[in-house]
Amino acid sequence: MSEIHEITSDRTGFPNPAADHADKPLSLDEKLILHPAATFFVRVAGIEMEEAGIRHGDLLVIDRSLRPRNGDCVIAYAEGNFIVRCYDTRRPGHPMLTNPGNLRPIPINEEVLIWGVVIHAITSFRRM
Amino acid sequence: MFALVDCNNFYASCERVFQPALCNRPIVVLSNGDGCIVARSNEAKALGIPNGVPFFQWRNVFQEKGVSVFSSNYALYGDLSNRVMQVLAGFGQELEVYSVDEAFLQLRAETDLVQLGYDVRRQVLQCLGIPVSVGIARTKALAKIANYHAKRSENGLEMMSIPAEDGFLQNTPIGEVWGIGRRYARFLSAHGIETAYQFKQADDVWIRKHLTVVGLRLLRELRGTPYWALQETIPTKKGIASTRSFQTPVTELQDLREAIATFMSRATEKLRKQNAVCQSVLVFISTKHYGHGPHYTNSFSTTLPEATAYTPGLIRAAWAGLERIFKHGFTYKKAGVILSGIHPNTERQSDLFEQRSHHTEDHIMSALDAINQKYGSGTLRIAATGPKKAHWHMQQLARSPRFTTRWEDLIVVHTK
Repeated sequence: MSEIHEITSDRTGFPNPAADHADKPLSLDEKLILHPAATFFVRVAGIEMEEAGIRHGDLLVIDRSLRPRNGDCVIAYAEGNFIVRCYDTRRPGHPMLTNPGNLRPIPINEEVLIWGVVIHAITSFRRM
Repeated sequence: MFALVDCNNFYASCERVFQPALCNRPIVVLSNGDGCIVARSNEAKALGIPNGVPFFQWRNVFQEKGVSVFSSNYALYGDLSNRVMQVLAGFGQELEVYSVDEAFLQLRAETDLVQLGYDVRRQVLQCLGIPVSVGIARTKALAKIANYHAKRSENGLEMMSIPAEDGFLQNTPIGEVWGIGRRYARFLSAHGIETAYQFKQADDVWIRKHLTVVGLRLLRELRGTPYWALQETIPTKKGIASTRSFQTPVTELQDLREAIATFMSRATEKLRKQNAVCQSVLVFISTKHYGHGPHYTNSFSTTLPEATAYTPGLIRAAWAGLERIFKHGFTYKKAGVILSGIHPNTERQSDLFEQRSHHTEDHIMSALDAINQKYGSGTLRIAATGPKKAHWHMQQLARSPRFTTRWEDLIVVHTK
């Protein structure tokens, strides 16, 4: 039986030429998350936001530290449910939560809690 | 100046982040095994529900008044606690994580204090949905009192200016003073000291005699001279800390692991001496705060699924935290562990059907302590590896989903 010895830079005395250029592997967390403490993930149920780019089953990355702007997708708590909608402030004094088909827009009032801003939607094409 | 930031009814607030319908409604959170009430929302307090009482005694009241009852969700509370501390660390002031839901900030001289207080409240609320109270004053003990009043004020912020101190202290019951437990509070009020102000006026020698040197330090703090610096060992009913500055600065993870294990052995020995168990472990590491070289301070707090005083289990928890905060390339000058959520060992609830026996662990620890007492501290030590991972089990009938730590528990958002 023979033993296999791994030859490493330590043993040969040659420095590893890559050591000076060592990069960390790419990280999706680093790329997609700006404010880790304020970032949450949620799952989408429903097809009404598809035209806005959010599909049934998507994983959404929510950043709560951001203030919503017109045209953002946001998570809100309204009528006893968490919903994902477009944040629409085009009519001054009448902010609304809408979706692309404009079914039943919801006026933003004290009954509605804006929970966070959607910054990414992740669609998976294969079951994990 | 010091600011004490304290999360309001932390566990109840955590539940509300993911169940906003429960805002302004009574909530209670139960201990492990659903035995006792360990946290209440303001609305539950207003119903007269006391802390620490057995759940079953109040079950009818809960049903009648529509109180929402939760089993403890330590994964959720621990994660949100870490996030709160991260947000606070972002303010660029020196930070001491004091417990799962409290932190001190040491504020630099040029800080606009009131503005900072507002910003802290606004940012934690926006980023996490958790309301906090901020008390600002000259010393840590005074900041604690400022926070007590902040909790009772409209805007959740109290900035205690020097001329206003006495007024606040007059309205602070002695039992609310930092480190004054129920026993001391009773003793002091029997001697006519019922407010923080009366305590401040007390005779130094008398205090030294009856409340030891710790009482004297507290006196000094209430009179406006800081005694306790940030991240120093403070004897309190809430926590046991074991920390130390290194003689020789430390750079390697392995060395820190050994240091942390040593601190933990010391802290757990103290814990067992009180015949107590703890629910939460905080580990911190720090470089020098000033001078040349890069600075880095961080901490990580872990809430255990079950309260324990078992050294190997607690070392494991501290090591896991250490690995999350350790960064190469720094010269560490200080490290430590803080145990909190301390309560008497008898309260510990355990699942009837649980495989692992607490008795074995208790016996091992008593044997360890007995040997060390007889032959000198450190005669028998915990080997750095520790035994296999323990199986934590507990009864949890009404735990909310682990929204932030389990993929299968994510919130579902609807598009309709």
